[in-house]
Amino acid sequence: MSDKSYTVTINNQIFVVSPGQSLFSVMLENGILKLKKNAVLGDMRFGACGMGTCFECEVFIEDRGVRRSCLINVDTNLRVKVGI
Amino acid sequence: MRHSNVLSKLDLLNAQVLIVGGGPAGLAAASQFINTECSVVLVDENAELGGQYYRQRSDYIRNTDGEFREHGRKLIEALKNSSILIISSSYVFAVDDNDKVLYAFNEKTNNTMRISFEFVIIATGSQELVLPYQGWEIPKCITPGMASRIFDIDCINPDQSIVIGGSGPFLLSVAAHLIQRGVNVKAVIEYYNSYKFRALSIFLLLFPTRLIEFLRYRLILWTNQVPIKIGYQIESAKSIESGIQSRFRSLSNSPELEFHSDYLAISYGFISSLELPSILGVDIMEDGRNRVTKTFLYGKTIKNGVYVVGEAVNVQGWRSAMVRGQVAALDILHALNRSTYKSRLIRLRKLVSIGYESFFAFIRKSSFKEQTPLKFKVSQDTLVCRCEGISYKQVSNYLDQAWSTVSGLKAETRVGMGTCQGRQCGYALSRVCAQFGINEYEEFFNARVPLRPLPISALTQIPHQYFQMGEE
Repeated sequence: MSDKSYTVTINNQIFVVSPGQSLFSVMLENGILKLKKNAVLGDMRFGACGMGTCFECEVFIEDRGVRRSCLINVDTNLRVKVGI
Repeated sequence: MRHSNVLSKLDLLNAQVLIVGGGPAGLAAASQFINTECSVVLVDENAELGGQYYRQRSDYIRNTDGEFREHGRKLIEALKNSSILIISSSYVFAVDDNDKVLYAFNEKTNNTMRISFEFVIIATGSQELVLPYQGWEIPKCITPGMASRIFDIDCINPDQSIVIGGSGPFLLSVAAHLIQRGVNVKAVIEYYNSYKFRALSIFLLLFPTRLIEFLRYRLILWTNQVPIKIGYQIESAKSIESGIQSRFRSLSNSPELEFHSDYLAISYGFISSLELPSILGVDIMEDGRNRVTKTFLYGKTIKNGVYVVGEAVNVQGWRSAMVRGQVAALDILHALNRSTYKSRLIRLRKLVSIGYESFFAFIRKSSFKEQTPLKFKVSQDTLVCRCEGISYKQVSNYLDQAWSTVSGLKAETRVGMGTCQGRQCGYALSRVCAQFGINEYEEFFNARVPLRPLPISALTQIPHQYFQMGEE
């Protein structure tokens, strides 16, 4: 991959990502499907709508906060925590 | 954990025209203001413009997999090169008391913006309608829109299988696109008795490009031997080792269907996103199973200076959305005394296009016979509200109470009080109530401020002077 790629650290696992790729698809491609722990039932959720309405793909991004991963395109190095 | 942006300052913006939403309608509206010297601000929730229809592949993916809806990219680039201020990754969450100010929050910079405007064009689009089924919360049970997005835009590995179900021509479109990407589409399961031509369908001949589009989708499905099953509804999904096991029950007396696939995508068409028009005080009315904004000529509403365009007005597809966006923008130019003889003529001509699109929507609706309400039938342990984990059993316990309206059930059971603010379960709960005879047709949750779950820092950025609480 070109030198313009970014690193995304997801729960201490490091991925090299091409610019503009959606964070959600990075996790999907790498089999990271347990994105958000449901606060009531405790089961793990994964995005359903892909457009920002279901809020099931929320992850914690360092320096930003809890964000819907389907709305984020990787344009800088990111540190992400999932499954919380 | 660091919170470096907590002390950021409120951004004050002033626009003659504020456009909310960067999909086809918002883009079409904004493009009318290029080279007009109006100060225009476009706020969009996504990282990049385009909405759902014109969502673009990243540069890197475009180099390897090619263009996707190039027309949209050209439109977006023209806007980026203009003087229009584009604010991405931001959503509107509140409106000020005088209805001439909106507050928006930027998810990337963690800044709150106070945007005052003369005119606002609301182009918030629509969302897919999903009815709960057992197991709809497990990973990889998604919507066709999401399927289209991950395989068509994000271009993930297509060597996977999917079952697409629900209702509407959108399913065919998604199925055809996925097949062309190389995805193994195992079946398309349609709820209504659709795809049979009726007497009114003869008028589809007036819309040759769309008829050909539809026939092309059918042809792609037919040549790839993808079965289209009609008259089935999703019953349950189960996570098994090799993917998802889905079961569909017949609406007649046929035996149920069972599939194994990597993904399951279900939706029953689209419903308009009306939170923003609602809190701005625009009239909302019922239109079959959808609720729509009541608009007048050129997308005007009863609120002075508020225009609603695109799928928030009526779910009629991207062509109609773009025309409505253009017309509203041209009318605003007229109101700002910046119209020319030519633009006034175009504005009138576009009204004819709106009539044409509405006629098409009517014919399509009659052809596909979508009128009968969706039947909501689930097992007791199916989650109605996935955020708050409320099962159908918990809801049905209260259905015979005097207070069990949609709002009453929300207060008692917490359905709709979770993170998605009722966007996923609102329609389901209203269907449950309608089926139980509580309300005549659909009653919905009210839109409330904030329109999105906010970090508290979004509010602490707003100085005290702006909290007037009704003092004029």
